[in-house]
Amino acid sequence: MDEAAVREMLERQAEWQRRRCQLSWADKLRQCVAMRASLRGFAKAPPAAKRQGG
Amino acid sequence: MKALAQLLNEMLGAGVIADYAIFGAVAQMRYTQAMATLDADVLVGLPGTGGLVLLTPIYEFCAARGWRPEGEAIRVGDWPVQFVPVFSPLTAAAMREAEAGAVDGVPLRVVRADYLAVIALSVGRAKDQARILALLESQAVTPDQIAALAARHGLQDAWPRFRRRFLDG
Repeated sequence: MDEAAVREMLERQAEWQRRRCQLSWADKLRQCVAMRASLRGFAKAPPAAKRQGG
Repeated sequence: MKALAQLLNEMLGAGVIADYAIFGAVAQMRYTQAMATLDADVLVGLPGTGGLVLLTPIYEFCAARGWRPEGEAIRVGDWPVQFVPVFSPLTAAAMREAEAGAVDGVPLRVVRADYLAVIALSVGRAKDQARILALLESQAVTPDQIAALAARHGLQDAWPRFRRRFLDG
């Protein structure tokens, strides 16, 4: 991947993050609750699953 | 969060607390993208503040409505909530000058972006530094606003240090 392509990818990602900032506060708080639930799910994963990709 | 907003307004109406404002990551998310956080932090001012600061009336008020302690927090709906009595002139001012926000139509007092940044500056953990950078990037606050407020609260040395480390050159 050349430098221009990487820069373009990063700019797209930054734009996506800026759009996420524009969501309503209530929607962002709901996303936060969903994230917390997902993280709890990871924490409960069995040891074999935790090692995947490590 | 709507349940917490309703609870806080009821507490205020009943005189259990004299004032409140949401701060920490939940307040920060008004300006930045959603982030993972374990709990909601609420600055509270208690009536009759002489002597010991007791959270017992808050716990009793919550228990009467079915909200129970969970570790050091009280679970209100989806959120473990930490009630933090104002602990410095900075946090007292942050609560006093809080903005009127709203969640799903329910009013909720919330600490302003400049105070969020300066409280983070005063704490100084890695995640607090990241929060200051996120507030700046979202243009919720300017470096000059942080500098002015930091100077008013005795943090005039902390801000240039942060600036040199993360913003300059």
